[in-house]
Formats: sequence, structure tokens, C-alpha cells
Amino acid sequence: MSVKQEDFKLCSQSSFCRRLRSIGAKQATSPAHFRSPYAVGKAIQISDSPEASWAWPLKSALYPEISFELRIDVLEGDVVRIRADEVRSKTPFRRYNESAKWALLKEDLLMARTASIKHTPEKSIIKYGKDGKLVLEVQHKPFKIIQSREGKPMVIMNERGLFHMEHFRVKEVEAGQELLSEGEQMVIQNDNSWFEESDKDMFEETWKKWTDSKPKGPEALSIDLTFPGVQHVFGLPEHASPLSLPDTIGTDAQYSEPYRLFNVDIFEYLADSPMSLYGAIPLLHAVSKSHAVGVLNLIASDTWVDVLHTKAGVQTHWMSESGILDLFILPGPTPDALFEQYAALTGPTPLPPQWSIGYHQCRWNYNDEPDVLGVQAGFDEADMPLDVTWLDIEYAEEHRYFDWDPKHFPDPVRMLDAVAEKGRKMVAIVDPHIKKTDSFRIYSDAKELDILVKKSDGSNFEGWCWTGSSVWVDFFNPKSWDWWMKMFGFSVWKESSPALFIWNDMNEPSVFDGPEISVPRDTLFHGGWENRDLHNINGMMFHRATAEALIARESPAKRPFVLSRSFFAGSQRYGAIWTGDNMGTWDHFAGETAMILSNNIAGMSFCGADVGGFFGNPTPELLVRWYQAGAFMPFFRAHAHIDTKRREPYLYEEPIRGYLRDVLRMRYKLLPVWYNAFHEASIRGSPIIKPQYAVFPHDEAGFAIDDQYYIGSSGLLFKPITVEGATTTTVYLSAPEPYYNYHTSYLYPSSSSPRRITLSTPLETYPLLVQGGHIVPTRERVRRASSLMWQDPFTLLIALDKEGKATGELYLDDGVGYDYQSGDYVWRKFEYVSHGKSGSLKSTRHEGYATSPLSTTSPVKSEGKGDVKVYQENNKWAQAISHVRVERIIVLGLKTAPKMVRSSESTLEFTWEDGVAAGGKKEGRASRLVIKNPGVGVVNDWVIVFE
Amino acid sequence: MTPVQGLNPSLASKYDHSASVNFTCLDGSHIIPFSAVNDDYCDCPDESDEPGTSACPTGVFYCENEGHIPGRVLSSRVNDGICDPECCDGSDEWATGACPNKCAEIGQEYRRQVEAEMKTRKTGARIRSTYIKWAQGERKRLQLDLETKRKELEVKEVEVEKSRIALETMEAKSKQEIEKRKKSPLFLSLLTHRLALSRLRSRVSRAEKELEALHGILEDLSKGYNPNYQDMAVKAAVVGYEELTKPPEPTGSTDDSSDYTEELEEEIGDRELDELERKDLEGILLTDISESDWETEEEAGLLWKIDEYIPESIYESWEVVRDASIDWLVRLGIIGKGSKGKTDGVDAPHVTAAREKHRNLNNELTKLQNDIKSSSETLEKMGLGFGPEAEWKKLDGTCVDTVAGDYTYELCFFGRASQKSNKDSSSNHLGTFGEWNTSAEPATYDYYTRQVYKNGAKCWNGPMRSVTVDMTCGTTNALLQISEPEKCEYRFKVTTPALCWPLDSGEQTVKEEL
Repeated sequence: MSVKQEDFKLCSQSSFCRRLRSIGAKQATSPAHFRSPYAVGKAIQISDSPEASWAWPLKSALYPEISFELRIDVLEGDVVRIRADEVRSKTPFRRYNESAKWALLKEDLLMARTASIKHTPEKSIIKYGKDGKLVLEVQHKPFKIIQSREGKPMVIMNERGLFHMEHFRVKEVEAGQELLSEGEQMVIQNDNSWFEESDKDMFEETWKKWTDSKPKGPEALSIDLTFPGVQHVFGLPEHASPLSLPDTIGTDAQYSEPYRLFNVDIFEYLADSPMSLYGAIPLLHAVSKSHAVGVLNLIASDTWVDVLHTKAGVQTHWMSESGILDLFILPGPTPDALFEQYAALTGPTPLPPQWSIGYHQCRWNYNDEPDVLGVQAGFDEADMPLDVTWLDIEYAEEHRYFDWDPKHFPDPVRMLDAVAEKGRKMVAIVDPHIKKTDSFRIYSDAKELDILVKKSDGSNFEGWCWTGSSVWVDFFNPKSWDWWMKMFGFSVWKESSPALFIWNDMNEPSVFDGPEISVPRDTLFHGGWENRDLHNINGMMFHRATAEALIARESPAKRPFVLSRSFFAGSQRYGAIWTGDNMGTWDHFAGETAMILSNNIAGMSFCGADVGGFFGNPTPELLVRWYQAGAFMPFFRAHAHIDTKRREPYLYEEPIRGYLRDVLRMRYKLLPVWYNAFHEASIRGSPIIKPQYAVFPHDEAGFAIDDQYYIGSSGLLFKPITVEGATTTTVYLSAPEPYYNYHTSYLYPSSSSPRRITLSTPLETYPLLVQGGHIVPTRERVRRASSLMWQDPFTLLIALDKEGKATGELYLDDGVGYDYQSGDYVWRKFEYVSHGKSGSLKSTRHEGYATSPLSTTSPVKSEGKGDVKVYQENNKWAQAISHVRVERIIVLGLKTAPKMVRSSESTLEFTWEDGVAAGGKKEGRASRLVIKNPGVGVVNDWVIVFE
Repeated sequence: MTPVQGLNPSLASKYDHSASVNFTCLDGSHIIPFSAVNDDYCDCPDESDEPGTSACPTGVFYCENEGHIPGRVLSSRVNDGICDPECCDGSDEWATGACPNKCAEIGQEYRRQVEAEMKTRKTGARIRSTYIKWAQGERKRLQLDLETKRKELEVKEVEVEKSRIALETMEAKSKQEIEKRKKSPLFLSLLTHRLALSRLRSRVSRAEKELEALHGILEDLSKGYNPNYQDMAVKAAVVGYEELTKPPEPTGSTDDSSDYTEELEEEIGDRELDELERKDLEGILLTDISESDWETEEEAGLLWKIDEYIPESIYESWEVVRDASIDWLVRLGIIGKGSKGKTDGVDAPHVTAAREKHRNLNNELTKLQNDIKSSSETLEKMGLGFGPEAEWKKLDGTCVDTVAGDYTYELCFFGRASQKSNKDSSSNHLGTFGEWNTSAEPATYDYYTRQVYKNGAKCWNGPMRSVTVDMTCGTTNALLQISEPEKCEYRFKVTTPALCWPLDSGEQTVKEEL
């Protein structure tokens, strides 16, 4: 079994994509003679214009009677926003212009203060950025926009002349043209045909058994973006493709179809394909060893993107079915800066509940209360940690979500309490399809409120899903929000508890009997918009409503946890996502790493894959490898289809059981590292896991590597083993520093150039290295659930760099509430320095990320919550954990054993093992100094001196 | 000497502070000062220095639980703020202070439960002893019965042998003649035809079976498919099948009626083929020989010939009339007995009688043998298959059931497990008794705590249904709980007195430590 490719359209089966892709093909055939028909006129005055905002009339020579308007804003943070829309249309139609409203953190963006413009007859030149290093040149005829840094072009829009905005027309008018004399009509056709393909499907389109009524006729948008001087582009999630996107056109094309962004429920997707999946983020990074630049093309309609690498750079062609042009150019110049710039626009991943980065156990389905409690007992008996137990669709009677099946869950609150007693949580699924049955309050409420998604004729849309005949709520309708919020209140949903969280699946939305397994394109939403206009945002609106409902159900509010399958730019504000219905096979497993990295660089950091694979029965070897990989994904959840054998980790015999237990425990020991990474993501927008190019943007040889990655800024480098029977693997090391095998303290000496090392990887182990120069905080005492570990002591692992230095950090808060926003948290910086033969380790207050221009002046906010207050050392949380101590300090790579180690209080007990030093050229087990009970905590400043 | 926190008192001597200033890790690997014992830092590789803290990863904390029985918790549960029932005195939460000492209460409850369990086991054991007694009686009865039957068998064997010899002698004569005729080309050709016929028929029957299987699969699919799978191919198959199998429209078109005729023809064809195949060819040869001796063909032949003139629509009723007529004719002695079922009419009457006698005797012999076999098998099972004291024999065929969700589940010990719908009369076979707990040593207590019922009805797109039955001692035979952890693989929880072994049997000992 595998995907039914025929259930989904090819570009050639979609009239707009066919039309727009043919423009690209025509240009490619004769680039010298191909000239954009579009031109910009004299700048127009915008009333109440902010300083850094300008507008121009835009016209196509093909349709001189039609008017467009171009608008350019330079935003704070040196992001350029380019918008274009048709104006003064004689039709009643308008292009969808609300993608930004839903995707952006806030609608009224601050303008840059330093931008200035100069007009000449040929071009308008905007200077912006610090010292005017950035320039945006608008060439008037033919229309072209060049963004450059220090004179070097970074992004060129419409260089190939593929920009095209199909104007609104009424079919009757079009037909009226036939009244023109034959000669005139010929002229028109001849004029256009070099550019526009005529298309009989412009006003109505039939695919398989479905007919799209297309009331607005053609309204597609084509843009081309060229990135000179780069050989790697990243982004456009979600696809099962390599991280560095291969060509879709030209002689070296890996794929014949463009990358598609159109959220669908795809059954057993292919392991390597540009086909669309569950989520869509129209963000692209273009990176060379000297710069990085990004584009965010905020469009929510069906979008296809062709990619072509040339000697000069990378060409991209974006083809969308509808919507205005709303393009953001993120100036970089580094990947880190791109992450911050993107987070400033769409928001960072807010700090999730701390327990949600522990281990999640899911299955379709845990059948009843004894089953759920049996899973708890299974983990406890095997001494394996577990934080969250999940319930798939069968908990709900007739799949009427919210309504527990009383035959199997007679007393849900009793069960939830029993699970919560051990510090654990549960997640139950609430899908967007609503069973069409009057006795179901959710249905009758929604029908009464008239907030259901409508067919093109205005009646309520009905389709088929798990629930049988179903309807869908229109979450674009503000009336739905308050109502949905109430549904989760403990007084309304009485069979719920503060330990219960939510899973929003099937929110593309999935409609089993709909075109491409979703709602038809002419389905209507609030404001009269069609599904065609906002399709890719639909899942996010549902995710958003649920997350806000969970925030609202308690006072003071607790952090929500909602897992969604579908996502768009901005979804990171509402919770986690996962990579959907993968298969328990080696090739699917191998593909997950690149997918999760791609999501991470596009802001959707809190993500993971079904451990073990949703479909099929993995072999014990594959399962162990998958747990090893899963333990290093930001979201760590095992899940399995109803037809599979049970595969909870405690069910296995030794040695498999031991391997699984080890890796589960490893996740828990490293939770401080993960929480640090989430914290950094929440204020800087940085990925939780970082691919090679993001950490080493000057080492181009490593750009294409997408099978290993770093965890946040911890210096931990991980590579999953995704090859059956592999007993060795190689890992690529970029930093001119020593690296240490985390499991064995084996040291690979520093080198001035990147290199590959070979590691032994029998089933019980996997590559986990620490880059020299980092201090890794861990908690070695693994409890039944992560929430029980808050008072446990820390171990600091100091991996010295070649100069004998290392730094690290530790962020702690209550893990569940929002008190951290009022300053109740602990954020420490650890620093080890060498002075000749002696050294010192210092713990000080973390002052914030100095490199980040955003972190101090305009910290990016999480949805609906205010700025994070500055951290005071005696805050409530610091007091609550003032007794939490550091129990052990390990220093790897010292040259010689110190004579004495002392804190301000006393001399400290330590052990020493000889070994290789960090500054040397020798490979081998690193020297190891272990300080026992140094008598220091994690709240106050302290110094430990090594003499 | 102050007790060491979390230490099992049996090890106290190894932790005697007064004996030495140093503590030696129990594995002897390290010597550390006594101040390092329970200092919340794991020094000993064998974790023996931290019995009272969570510092070592796999240690155990010993709780005295005064007022109850002592217990242990894993070191990872020490000071985690959770009150573990194994440590009712709360001593493992010495730092968090989260757990008050509840041993008096919990101990009392525990003792009450133990007492109740004892009572159950005592009562259960009494019931079990009646099973054993019954089984002993049953064994005696079976043994006695077996003895009698074995004697009968000896006698019967002699009788059968005698009758066989008599029959053979009689047959030998006719046989010689037959052998001669068998070599005729006509007969050989007849054999070839017959062979062709049976091959053809087996092909047809295979095709029919396949068709039937396909019908079955599609029928299962149409009833059992999950409409929620977004597989439109499955849906199309179901709709197609439903259309194919829906009864013909009552407004019978010409097409329908011709179909009907075809079907009838086929049926008759079948019957004729049966007769052809059943026809005793050797008998025909014999008939040839003895034709002059019995003039039956003429008389009955007419009735058979009428067959050819009977319209198909009334053939079936004619058949009844015809057979009855021949019966009467035979009874009245008008025609020979051989007329009916032409195959029987081949032997001379004395041969027929001898054969009949032999057959009857042979049948009696087989029945005896079967009885003996079954009884000895039962007796053999009463050695191990029915439990160490054959106590399970009593439950052979006993059924227990329970209602869960929309179904009633039933388990008949050593028979079948089934699932019956509470809404309609549909029922699923979940499996037939297959084996005891194969992961335990045969004849141990554990061996009898589980039964597996296998090879039930196949699930659509899934395995054959099966049931694992986990059993415990109880005063009644009862099905307490069912679950389906994997699709079509069920688990039953059952109580039975058959598992209430006597308290002193060494199995199921009462715990002295949690």
C-alpha cells in the first residue's frame, strides 16, 4: 500500500498552474526575447502615509484598461514588504488579502525609521538598514525589484518577467468580445499568446467527479524570485524531500512536479516527493557562504513552486491560485538573523508546558479505562518514564468528540485523576468534523449559531469523515471563537480536567469524499471568501481556537498544549505539529529528519514524527532506532495504527527493552537542554533543532547535510541511525574545535577544517557528540514523569574547547504557567575559563542574548501575552527552587589534574581520570575530572576555582 | 546504632558505623567514609552507599511500614512527592514530607483483603476438591467402561473376521467373471470417461468454492468494512457487491426467466452426474452376467423411462412419486429390490446379505474403537490437560459469559469462545481451545492460569480472531472482563475455583513484603 497519487492533482491538472507554469516554460525557451508586460508608473501619494511606505500604479501592457497598485513598506528590522492588488475593478470581486491578518503576530507592523527614497524616471531607489547598507531598487519598465546588500543583489523579483496577476473579468464580458470583428479578436489573441495561455477551464473546472464553479473566474498570481550567488535554498515545508531543495525543472530536475503547498490529508505519503502534505509555510531561505536572505510569500491558496539551480544562483517560480501579492523580504544576513526576522513577523514558538517535551505514548486506540491504567502500570513496572498518555478517536461515542463512550470510559474524571496522581497528563483528540446528528450538542449549537462552513450555494456543507456524515465549523467566523472557548470550560465539558489536553487532527480539513480529500474550492467561509483563497490557513484557525480555549479554561491561565496536523505560517504560536501518517519502514524513517529540520527552520519548531511509524509493524531493530531518533525530536511521541500489534516499550524482552529504556531515560536526563532550546526559541525564534547550514553558515560543504543536527545552542550534535544493520556511521564535524562522544567521553581533536569521523553504532548506541566549548546541564535522576523532577539536582558537563574554555546556560521556571512573563524564572550563564594551569567556573545571571537585535528592544511575543519581564534574582520561582543544587560537575579535556578545587565555602572533593586534553591533537578518551557535591545551587552566583 | 535510612535491616551489619570509620561498597570495589553513605551522591558502582536517597539510578528504598508489612520502592521514587502504596509509612518522602504515615489504615485494609482472599481461596479450594472428586469418579467410570468395551472389542473383532471370510468366498466367484470383462475395450473406455468426468467435476467444484470464497470475502467486507477508512476503492467494491447480490427485481424480465431456467438445468445436470459417478461399473458388468437371472429391468425400467418425459418444472415431485412407487413395487415383490438405486442391484441376494452383515459388524467395530479411543484420550488428558488433579474435567463444556458494550461474550471451557451481538442474531466465532500457557512449564500453577483459543473467524483485513484467557482463583466460574488490545485479538479475565489450589501447595504464597 502507498499513497494514491491519483487522488491529488498534478500541476497540469489544475488550470491555473498549467497557465502559469507555461509562462515559465515560454520564458525559458527564449529568455532573450521575453519581456515582462508589466510596468510601474509614477509614484502616488498615500494619504496618511507612514514614513517608510510608498505606492505606485502598476499596469500590464496586455490589459491597459486594468489597474493594479504596488505598495512597498520598509518595516522595523529592515524587512521589506511588497504588496500588489488590482484596484478599481469593474467586477464585484476582490482578491483575498487576509493571509497576513492570520499569519502575522500583529497586523500593524512598525515601520523602519531610517528608510529613504529617491525617484528617477527609470527607477525608484529605497535605501534602508544600518548605514544604508540595504537597497531596494524598483525598476519601472519592465517592472522589476532588486534587493541588495552592500551593492550585491540578494533577491530579484521579476527578473525573468514571470510576474502576472490575472485581473478579474466577468464571463459574459469575455464572451462579448466575440462580438468584435474577427480581425480585432485575432490581434488580442496574438498579443497575449506569447505570455498567457488561453484556457477553457478559467471559469469552471472539472476534475474527476468534482466541478469547481469558480464564480470569480481566473485570479491567479505568478511571481518569480531569483537569488543570485546561492546554490542552496531551504524551506517551503512541508514536503518529504531533502532539506536543500532539489530542482523541479531543467535537466537536473529531481522531481517533475513543482513543490506544492496545499494542505491535504495524504494517506501513506511517499518518502521522497514534492507532493503537498498536511502543512504549508511559504518561506524560503537562500544561503551562500557569505550571506543568507529569506522570502515569505504570504499566500494561502494552492501554490506551486518551481526551483532551478543555475551557475548564477537559484531561480524560483511561485504559482498561486488566488490572493494578493504580499511578499516579505527578510534581509538576513545570517540564518540566525532570518530566524529572528521571521519570528518577529509571525511570532516565535512560545514556551510550551514543560511536561510536553517529555515522552508521549499514543495508540489508535487505548480502548478503555483499564487499558489506560494498564499502560501507566506497564511503564511504572518497567521503570520507564512517561508524561502523557493519548486517546485517539475511539474514546468518543460514535466519534462525537467531547462525548466519552460510557461503555468504555464510564468515569473519565476518575481516570484522569488516577493518571494525574503520578504527575502525568492525558491528551484526547478533538477533530474538526462534527457528526451531523441533532442530539449532539456541538452540532446543534453550531447549526443554531450559523457558523458552519457553507457550500457555494449557501447551504451548510456536508461531507464524510470518521463520524460519517459531518459538518465543519467556520473558524474564520469570530462568532465561533467564544463558543468554542466555552466548549472546553470545565463547567461545560464536565468530563474533563486540568490534566486533559487536546489533539486537533484532520484539520486540513480532511473530507473523505471531497476533491483531494478536502472541501471543494468554492466552499464559502466567513466574509464570503472561498476555500480556494484561504485553504492553507484553515487548519491553523482550528488549532488557534482550541489553544485559546485551553488558555481560557483556567485562572490563572496555564500554558496550553494542542497538537495539530495541519499548519501554516504562524501555527507555531498555538502548539505542536507532527509529520502525520508515516509508515513503519526504514525509508520513511530516514526521510523524517529532513522534514523535521525543514519545519524547524520555518518556525514550526515544536514537531516530531510518529515513533515506530503509524502504519505497519516495525521490527525491534527499527523500533529501537526510531526511539533513538524520537528522543532527539522536539516533540517525542510514539503512535500506532489500530491494525498494528501493540508496541509499548515495556512489552519487549531484553535486550530491546533495555535499549528502549536507556533512550527514554536519555531524553529525560537531557530535558534541561531541551527546555533551554525551547526558551531560546521563544525569545529568538531559533529552531529547537538546527541543521548544519544554520549553525555553520560559512561552511558551504555542509549545507546539504540533513541527516544530523544540533539541539538548540547546547553544542550537542545528534545523528539518527536510519540504515538497517548499520554498525558504523560517519558524522560531519564543522567547528574547528574538539568534539566529545557524549556516551564515552572519547575526544576527536580540533581541526582547522571540517572533517568526517566514523563512529561505531551497534543497536544500543547512536552518535551523540558535544562540541568543545559547551557546558551541558543535565538531570541524571529520571523520575516517572518529568513534572516530578523539578527539585532534583543538576549535573554540569563541561566540554572544553581547544583553548580550555566553555560556556553554557540554564533556564528554569514553573513549567506550566505564565508567571515567567512577570519575571518568575531563573536564567543562569555558566562560564569556564582557563588562566594558565588554573581555571574557574562561574555561574552568573544571564543578561540576554547579546547577538540578537530583537531580544532586548522588541522581544517577540507569544500570542495574547505580554513581554517577558526582566529577571530578578529573588523572584518567586528562584525562591521556590533555592534548595536545588548542582550535585556533580564533570570537566572533560583538562590537560592536568588540578591540585585543589574549591568554592568560596570550602575545598571540594573530586576524582580524576587521565586522558586526552582538549587543546591537543590526540584522539582518545578525554581526561575526566568529577567534582562531587560542589555545594552550589542554580539560583545564586558562585565561582569554583581549579588550582 | 541509628538505622540507615532506606536500608533493608537484614543488611544492617554491613553498615555498622561503630565497627569502622569507612564503609566498603557491598561489591567490595570502593572504600568510602561513612559520611558518604546516604549523602545524596552515588559513590559505589553497585549503588550500595545510597539506600535512602534517589542519588543512584536503580537502587531500592526499604520501608519498614510499621503496622503493615515492609515494602520497597525504586530509588527513582524516593522524594518525588508521590505517595507510593508500597511505602505507606511515607518514609521514602523524607525530604518532601508529602506523605503521612498511613500504615495503620492501609495495613488494616490490607489484612482485610488478605483475609477476604484467603476466604475466597478456601471456599474456592473446597469447590475445586469437589471437581477433583468428580473427576476421580469420572476416571473410574471411564476406566471401567474402557475395560468392558475392550472386551467387547475382542469379541467383535472375531465376528467381523468371520463375516469377512464368508463374504469374500461368495464374492470371489463373481469377481472372476468381472475381472475377465474388465479387460474389454468398452469398459476401459468407460473408465477413461469416468476419470474425465470426475476431473471436470472437481474443476467445477473448485471454481464454485473459489466463487463462494470470493462471495464470502465480499460479504465480510460489505458487513465488516470500516466506512471511516477513506478508501473509495473499498467503497466501490462494497456497492458493486451489494448490487450483484440483491434479489432480482420482481418484474421478471425475459433475461431473468432464462437465468432461472439455466439454473434448473444445471441442478439436474448435477444430479445426473452424481448418479453417473456413483454408478458401480463393476456392478454393471455383474448385471450383465446375471441379467438372465433377474428380470427386473423390464418392470422398473418403465418407471425410469418416464423420467425422460417429465417436464422439468414438476421433476422434483415426480421423483418422489417414482421412488415411492418403486418402493411399493419392491415391497409387493413385483420387482426386485435391486431396481432402486441401480448400483445395489448388482449382487446376487446372498452376496448382498453377506455384505450387509459384514458392513454392520464393521460399523459396530468402528464405533467401539472410537469409543475406546475417546475414553482413553480423556483419561490421558486427565493426567495433564485437565489439570494436575483432573479438576478441569468438570468444566469441560461449561460456559461463562458477560455483556460488554454491544456484545455478549461467551467462553465454553475447552470448546469455543464467541461474541454475540445484543442487537441482532449475528455472532462471531472467536476461537477454539488451543493450548494452556505455553510460556510456563507444563503442570505448574502458571501453566493453568492461561488458555488460548485460536483460529476464530477471520477479521476483514486482519488476522483470525483469537482469545487469550487469563484466569485466577475465584469462588465461581465467571467471565469478568474482556478487552481487545489489538484488533481481533481478545483477552478475557476469568475466575474459576479450578485455580484455587490448596493454601499449602506452595503456589500463590502470601506476600510477606510488598
